[in-house]
Amino acid sequence: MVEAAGFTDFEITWRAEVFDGAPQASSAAAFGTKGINFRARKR
Amino acid sequence: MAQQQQVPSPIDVDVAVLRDAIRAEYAAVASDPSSGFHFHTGHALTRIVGYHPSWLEGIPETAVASFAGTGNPFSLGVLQPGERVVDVGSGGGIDSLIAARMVGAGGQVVGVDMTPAMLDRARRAADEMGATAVEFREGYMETLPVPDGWADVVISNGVLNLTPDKGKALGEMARVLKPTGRLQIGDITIDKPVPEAAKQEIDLWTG
Repeated sequence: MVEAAGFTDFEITWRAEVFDGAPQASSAAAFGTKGINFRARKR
Repeated sequence: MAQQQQVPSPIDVDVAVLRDAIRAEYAAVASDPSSGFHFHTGHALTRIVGYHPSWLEGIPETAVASFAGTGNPFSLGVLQPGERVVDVGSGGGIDSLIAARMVGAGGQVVGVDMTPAMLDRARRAADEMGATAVEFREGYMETLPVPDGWADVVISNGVLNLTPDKGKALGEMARVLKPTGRLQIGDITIDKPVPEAAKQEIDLWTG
């Protein structure tokens, strides 16, 4: 999807549990939701 | 307030209703960031996602307290003096203000957000900091109020997941970037597929 939008060199650099221990329960755990960082460059 | 626009959605969800729910959620964060949400906020979150303490020096508490991102766009590359930056979904302004300091007086930062309460908070924080190279504009990520080819870098943090039309939002990010411009994004991923019916549940989008 990122490359289809006009980017190249797409790379996910980091994944982490960013919702664990949040004050309110969420749907994050049910879907294995994680925080990520990604980068790309416009073609 | 930004004009409501008909945005085609590849997911069968009412975009206007979804936007209203998201606005309400983030207006609550702007109003009382420490009241407890389904995500972490503020200083605790900056530590979770790895913000360097030096980036936060001089950033007003008004902006830091309402931080609600899911990643760290600055870990993906340092912004250079003089660069132009667009912060998509700028919230209370923390990332825009960090970016403004990185690019310096010769650079420019435009933060875009659809929640008036967050825009108020971000503008207040910019005033407190005396930041002159940053401005906050009301708008949607699917129709960014930024000219074609204006930016060297687009950053965003915990926002792309909130649109049902991610292709359109990414296309807008590409449109406002110069050729070879950089995209540096914090967002979320999921390990388990979301059932089609669940994608229409507004509560799942906001919580």
